[in-house]
Amino acid sequence: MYRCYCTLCQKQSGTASNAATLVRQEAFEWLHEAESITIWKMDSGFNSHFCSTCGCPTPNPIGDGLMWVPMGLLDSVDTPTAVHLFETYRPAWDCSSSQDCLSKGVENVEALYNALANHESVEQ
Amino acid sequence: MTLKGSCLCGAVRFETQGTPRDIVACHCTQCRKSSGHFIAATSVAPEELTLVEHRGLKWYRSSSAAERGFCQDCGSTLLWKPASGDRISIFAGAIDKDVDLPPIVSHIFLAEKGAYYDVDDAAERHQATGAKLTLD
Repeated sequence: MYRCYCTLCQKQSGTASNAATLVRQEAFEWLHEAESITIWKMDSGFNSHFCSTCGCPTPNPIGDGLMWVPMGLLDSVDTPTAVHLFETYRPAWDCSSSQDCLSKGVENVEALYNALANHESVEQ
Repeated sequence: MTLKGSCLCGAVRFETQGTPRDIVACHCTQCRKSSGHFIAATSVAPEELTLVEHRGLKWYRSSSAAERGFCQDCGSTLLWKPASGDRISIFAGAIDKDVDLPPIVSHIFLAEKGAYYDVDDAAERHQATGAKLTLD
């Protein structure tokens, strides 16, 4: 999984960073129809998909055949943080985990997926 | 100390007066789902929170004990309001960055924490919590 500390992800999550992973779209399946998802998009390409009823972030396609999946939705997944993005924006009040990070950044979504899949060290 | 903050799209904007509570991180299942990770929040008395803009604000009753406030336009996770009504929690990620808030003082509901991260700072650690800590 990775964490992104950019201010967009902070506002979306309400905390210091998001936490998410990427899976191939063919490996993702909705168990119930996603019929009440609101989509908000910025011109930059940033987008927010969330449950219209309760506001929880929902999985969504982010290009290159990949689905973005928020870690907080998952049950009992034990996978380390492989990548931290935009860590310079990490707020001073967040010192909740100083652990392990294999990479500080990636060039694009595919590189991010590869870093998560392989836990490779990738320089920004 | 005055705090200002907003959602991503600006359909919810707020200001606070008074002294905000220190930041508490909540790792309960509901906070994990609504955040996508876990929640970090300060709080103020209801009368100390001014909603400068609230056209996007939607409240979801997540349990008999509380409601969660989010922006129905952009999905930003913003507020938590207990049924008792004595405090209102403001999620730290929504607060503008021109004020340096002190570090997280306490972690609650660690028994429900995700397995994919560790909590290893110097803050207090509670596997669960009593109502007082949750609501103060």
